[in-house]
This record gives sequence, structure tokens and C-alpha cells, in this order.
Amino acid sequence: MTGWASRAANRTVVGLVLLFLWTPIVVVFVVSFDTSTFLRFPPREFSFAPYVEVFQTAEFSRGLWISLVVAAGSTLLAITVSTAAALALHRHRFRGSGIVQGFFVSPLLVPHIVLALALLLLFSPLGLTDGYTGLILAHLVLCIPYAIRTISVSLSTADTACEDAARVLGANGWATFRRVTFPLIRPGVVAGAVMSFLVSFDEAVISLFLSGYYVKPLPVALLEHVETQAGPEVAALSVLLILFSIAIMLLLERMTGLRRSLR
Amino acid sequence: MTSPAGPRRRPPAALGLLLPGVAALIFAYVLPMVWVGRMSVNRYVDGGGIEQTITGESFAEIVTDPYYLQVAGTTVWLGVVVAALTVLVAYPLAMFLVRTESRFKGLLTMLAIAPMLVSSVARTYGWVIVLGNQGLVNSFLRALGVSERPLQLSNNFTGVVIALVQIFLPYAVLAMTSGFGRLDRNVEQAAASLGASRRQVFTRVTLPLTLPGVLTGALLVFVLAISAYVTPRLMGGGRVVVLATEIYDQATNRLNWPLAASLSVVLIVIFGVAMAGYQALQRRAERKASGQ
Amino acid sequence: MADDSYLRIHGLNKTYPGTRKPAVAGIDLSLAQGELLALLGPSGCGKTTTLRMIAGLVEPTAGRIEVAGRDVTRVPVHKRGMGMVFQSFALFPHLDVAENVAFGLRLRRIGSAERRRRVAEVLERVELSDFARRRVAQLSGGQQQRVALARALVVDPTLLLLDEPLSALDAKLRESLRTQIREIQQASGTTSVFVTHDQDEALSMADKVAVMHEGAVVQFGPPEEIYQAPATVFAATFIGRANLFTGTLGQDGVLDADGLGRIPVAPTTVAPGKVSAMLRPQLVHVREGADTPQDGAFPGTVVSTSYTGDLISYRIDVSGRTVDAERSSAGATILAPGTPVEVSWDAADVRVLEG
Repeated sequence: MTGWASRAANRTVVGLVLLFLWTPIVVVFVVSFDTSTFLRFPPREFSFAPYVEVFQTAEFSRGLWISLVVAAGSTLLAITVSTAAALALHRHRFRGSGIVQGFFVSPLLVPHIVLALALLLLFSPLGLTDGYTGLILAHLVLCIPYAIRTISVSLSTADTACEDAARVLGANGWATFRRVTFPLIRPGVVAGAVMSFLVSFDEAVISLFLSGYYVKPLPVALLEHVETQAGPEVAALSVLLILFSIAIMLLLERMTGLRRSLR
Repeated sequence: MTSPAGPRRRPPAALGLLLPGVAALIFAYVLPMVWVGRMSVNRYVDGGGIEQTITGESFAEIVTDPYYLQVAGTTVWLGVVVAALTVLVAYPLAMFLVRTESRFKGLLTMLAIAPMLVSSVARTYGWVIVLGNQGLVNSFLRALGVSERPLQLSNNFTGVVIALVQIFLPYAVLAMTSGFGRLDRNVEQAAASLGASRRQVFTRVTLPLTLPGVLTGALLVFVLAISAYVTPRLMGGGRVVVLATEIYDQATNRLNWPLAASLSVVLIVIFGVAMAGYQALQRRAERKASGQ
Repeated sequence: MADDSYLRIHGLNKTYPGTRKPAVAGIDLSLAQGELLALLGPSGCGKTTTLRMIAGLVEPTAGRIEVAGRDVTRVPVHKRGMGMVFQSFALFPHLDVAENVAFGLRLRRIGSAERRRRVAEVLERVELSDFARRRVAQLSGGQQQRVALARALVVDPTLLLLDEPLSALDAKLRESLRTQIREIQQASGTTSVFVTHDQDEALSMADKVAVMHEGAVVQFGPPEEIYQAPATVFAATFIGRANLFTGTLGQDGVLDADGLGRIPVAPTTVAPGKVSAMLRPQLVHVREGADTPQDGAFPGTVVSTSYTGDLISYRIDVSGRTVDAERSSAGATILAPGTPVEVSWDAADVRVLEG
């Protein structure tokens, strides 16, 4: 094959792969505007009815509320806990800090299904299932690795001489943190918060194991709906979730540059 | 520029800062994992009870009952197939992203990685629509008049594979683009100038050099695939049973927690074996890549 | 000596855990109020560690630090009321110039009107009045350093500490800032300690110099004393250039120098035996060789000549040994390499060193 032809073939392959990657997302988008009560493709009508339906379905609006509350709770706790831990790891020298950092990041390695079962087994007798507390705690474990990574990067690249300067000028530990350290690490904290929020909001498996009658986050509500009454309102909800994720992702891209934060 | 080194505060302050995080992780992470181990050796009493004891019954059941052996086998097979296919599909894309000088490089990279941040439920649902009997593919084939009977792409193993490949593609691309850093254009050109054909350049130069990145991608996808729950459940239509779905079933419907825990242990063991195999293969691939 | 009592350091020691050799090995220093002390030495000599211990950023292993009669050794950093200027400037990037300068005042809960007045006043002292609202990133290196100085001075510090404040700047800037800092320091009468590895800085700015080497103070005194009468080989060679003669000092006070024979030296308290002695190149007289050598002069040959506008430096071979000589270029003819010459000097300029 000549150079030109092989380059064209290469580009075609790449294009096809990207198409493959985005097809389901695009399809869901298209189907969400159809009004038939069962799935069909190509869709016959165009209407916003499914979206209206989404907002009117109690399960979904309640699920959205629960997901937002849980995500907000886990995120706030995650960045607080991670900032404190990162400060300990990067501003106080002690032996084994590498191991401790590894420990904080390790939940990333555990398959969600195993963690889900584990949490169910422990939380059930403790009465922590079907409640906000248990769910927030569970999501907290998932969010910490993301938060501590971005915050650690910010913290280790910040100029410690500024903190020294603040202390000499009369700032005690808390004042130094509030007035100097935190403003310097804010990008890392925000990036960590955004990632934590997304992770918690989209999480399905652990939420599934821990949810019950009263507390059922949105992905779980969606999952159950897909199996029983798959219709365009499910597609509409999926689209809303996708748009929400994309919006958060664009926000992140704007603030920090996507590649760096995913590393 | 950072100030000269030197411990500035006594350890107690550091411990205080670490305490909340460590406490949370121990309570909601370490303890539950330990509990799984503990539960896997308990005895299940018919009717939903659990007897606190030490017994290998659940494990024995898994190893002797052909049903569970098949579930484990399906899981591993799924992992292998999905990993192989994903890596195969991701390779050209990753290669392109690493090498291209197009001004759309950033945008394309984002396009390749972005789907990762979309909820897996939403993405799987999309596949339900695309591959279902009334779905995109079949409607397309019907319109072309190619076949009257719908292609069974949903509610079976194939559908799960296709969906998982798409879901894990961004992870593989990400792993491989980082791993491809070692590839230097000049090495390939040098090989070509020495008389190697395009195919030879690929098999003798490019492939060995990119192998470490490929292995990392493959491991990542394998581990993700064997633990997948949502997609096998939705796309499998009840006919594709893997460890993850079985664990859910046993834990929630049958309330046989010891068995569910034991199945989790099996999953972790498979995970461990995969890691060990990966380390061994990676060492060999790294040696080849650096020319020993 | 009631005067030497503003800053007192006794036996200050810092040994890092896990190391055997101390970074700072028992330092004694004292400084009168309003004086500027330079801690001078090569990198790794412990000067920065000493400064950081005075500031409270590093905890001493042993020793005492007293400021204005008050023992501050165990007082936490933020309660010492000092001011510090860092090598990297350490300005707060998220605050503008005025906010940077006002930082310490805010912490002391000074009212906003008073704050504004004091900030304006100090910015004028460092000649940056028009820069109050600028962001840190928009400032040049020299401007940033002056803001750092203003920030430290505005709180009326008990001590002003400067950690290699000029190292990050280019040579020309360093010289002009040197004078500026010294003037401001003298005008405000703030007792100061600054750390540098640049001997020109130390000698030109300081009232007292402490030469440090491997954690210890090798010599302490006013700049002239350090330069003209260095106590050790290290002090002699670190500051300025020196000719070093090694040999045996006899009971009669005459040095039997290797290669040169007997040289009379300045009276010294160093015990006879193997010693080193130093002679500054500027004190070596060079004359074109005459047929009749003068009394006490050594015949030699010019090996190399270097002309730097103000000075002419010669490297002269005397009986196989190298002697450096330096003289001002005014009214002198430059001797070419290979010229036979005579070198001589006053015995009183040859100083015996300890160590």
C-alpha cells in the first residue's frame, strides 16, 4: 500500500472506532425524543414529552435528589479528609508516608462488586443500609483516592516558603492554612471535588447493594426502570445524566486541563 | 522552589490530620473487606440464616458444583475476550493519538476518553437499544433487506461483549497512550531504511516496543470486565451469568451470604492471578523493549 | 559589655535525626541593637539552618537564643515578632502588592486606616509607591524583593532575617539592591541577620561577619578584621585571594617556608610547629629584576599576567613556588610573561594562621 492509501486506511479505522465509541450515546439521545411506549429505532416522532415524563416520575425526581445529596455529602467529606491527610503526608515528614499514601489510593484497585458486597455484609447488621449515612460513607471511600491525588499534586508543588513567610509574619497553623496554603492549593481541591462528585453521582453497583425502599439513588432507579419498563423516558433520563456528566467534565477541562487531572 | 528540608512539627499533629481519613477508610473499606473473608467461612442455614463458624462449605460448593464452575469460567472467558478485543480496537486509536500532529489532537483525545465519565447504566442502556431485536443494527439490516430474522445480538454473551468493549475502550486508550511513550518515530524509520517492509517494521519494532502499554491496557480491561455487573445484567437478559451477577443474586435474593462472600473471594483470587501473570509478562516485555 | 546584648546565641546546635555530624555545631554569637550581621560561608555550612533556627522554623537540638533579653528558643514561630525575607521572595501569589505587605498587620488586627497608612509609608521607603495594586506576577525580580523587604519591615520586627536575599537576582541588580537594603536597614535601625555565600556582599553590607564552615563559626568580627586578619586557612582562602605558605614555625618566630626558605612573619600567638601563613596579593611588591637583588627580595619570573581595567594581577614563579601579586593599574607598566622580577613584602603582612 502506498503511503497515502495506508494513511487513509488508518484514518478510517480511527474514525470507525470513534464512531463505535459514541454510537450508544448518540442513539440514546435520539430515542429520547420518541414517544412510543416501547423501544424502537428509528423513532417515529419527535417530542419533549419523555423529558417532561422524567421530571414527573416520583422515583426519578426523588432519586435525583438523593443522588445530589449523597454526592454533595461524600464530596465535602472527601475533600476535607483528603486535604487533612495530604497536609500530613506532604508537610510533616514521617517514615512510611509512602505506604499511607498508597493506602489512601488503594480503594481504586478493588472491584466495585466486591466492595459492594463487603459493605452490605457489614452495614446491614449495623442498620446502615437504606440510609443516607451508609451511602455517603461508602461513596466517601470511592472518592478519597481521586481527591487525595489532585490535592497532593497541588500541595507538593506549592512553594512552602510562602507558608514559612506567613508563619514568621505571625500566622498560626490554622491562619497559615486558611490564608496562604488553601488559596494555593485551591485548583487541586476543586479538581478533586469535581471528580468526587462525578464518581459518586454515577456510581451504580455499590448504591444498588446499599439502597432500599427509602434511599434509592438515581442510577439505581434507572437500572430498575430499564429492566421493567424500558421506554423513551428512560432514554431521556439517560440523556440528562450524560449531559450532566459532560457539563461537569467540560467544567473540569476548563479549570485544569483534562489530561492532567485524569493521570 | 521549596524551603530546605527538616521536620517542623512533632508527629502528633500529623496523626491528628490523618485520623479522620484513616478511620473512615478502616470502617468503610478495610473492615468490610475483612468481613467478607470472615463471612466466606460461615455456614449458611437453609431459610436465610447464618451460623457463625469456621467451615469451608461454601468454597467446597463452588469447587464441586458444575454450575458455579461454569459461572467462574464464563467470567474468566468474558474477561479474556473483552480484554483481547478492546485492546485490539484501542490499539490503532491509541497509536493515532500518540503520533498525530493534527491540531485536533486535544479534541480527539477528549472524544476518546470522555465516555469514561458517563454513567455505565446510561451507556449500557444505549447498547440495549442499539443491539436489541428492534434496535438500530437490526432495523438497519432489515432496511437493507439483508436478513429477515433479527440478528441475536442482545440478551446473550455476544451483546455483553460488544457493550463491555465499548465501555472499557476509553480506559484501554488511556492506559495505552501513557504506555506508548517509549515509541520513538526514528526507530521505525531506521528500521525501514535498513530494508524492513512495513509489516516487518510493525512486527519487529513497533509491536515489541508498544507491548508494555498493550499489556497494561489488557490487564486493566480484564480486571474491569471480570468485575462488571450492570452490563452483564442488562445486556445478558438473565442468560449471561457471571460472578458479579451471581454474587448479587446470592446476597440479595437467596440471602446466602457465605456463598456470596466465597464467590467474592474467588473473584479476588482471579484478580490476584491476573496481576501475577501481568507482572511476569510485563517483566519479559520490558526486557524485550529495552533490548536485552 | 552591656551593648552586645540585643541578639545572643549560646551553643546553638542542630543535629538531624539519623545523622552523626551536626548541621550546626554549637554556635556562639552576639549582636548589638541596630547592627547587621552576615553569616557567610559556602553551601552546606549551616548558615541557613542557623537563620531558620533564629526564626523558629527549625527547632534547635541544643542551645539558647535570646532577643532583647527574652529567651525565644522555645517560642513558636508566629509569636517571635520577627521579619524574614526569602531567597525565592515567597510573595503570596493570590494577593496584590499592598495586600502582601499588609498581611502581617492584618494578623495583628491593626485597623484598616492604620494599615493603609503604614503600608503606604513602607512602600515609599522601598520606592514602590505606585505598585500597590499590582499583582505579584507582574513584578520584576528586584521589585519582588523590595516588596518582600517591605512586608517584613512594616510590622516593626524585633529582628530582620534575610536568607540569601540577592542570590536570585542578576549581578548588576544585586549591587544596587545591596546598597538600598543596607540604607533602609540603617535608617530603620532594625537589627538584622543575613545569610550569603557572596563575600563581597558580606564585607560591604555588614557590621559584623561570622564566617561559617561545616557547621561552626570559624571567625567572628567586623569585616576589616575578617579580611585583614583571617584566623584560619579556610577564612583566608574563602574571603579574598591569598598566598598560602606552609612550613615550620621556629621558636624564633621565623617561618621556614617550603621552597622559599626562611621568611620573617608578623608576631603571632600560634605555637611553633607546622603552620600555614597567608599573604594578600595586594601586599606583594613586584619590580623588574635588577642585577643586584635587594635585601629580603625573592627573584622570580612572571608566569602569567591578567589585566582587568582596575587591576593587574601577576602569577610569579619563585623558586618553583607560585606567588600571586596584585596592584592597581594606575601609573604602572604591564610586565609581560617571562620577565625576570623581584618580589618583596613587609614581614608584618605575613600572618600565621591556625588550623
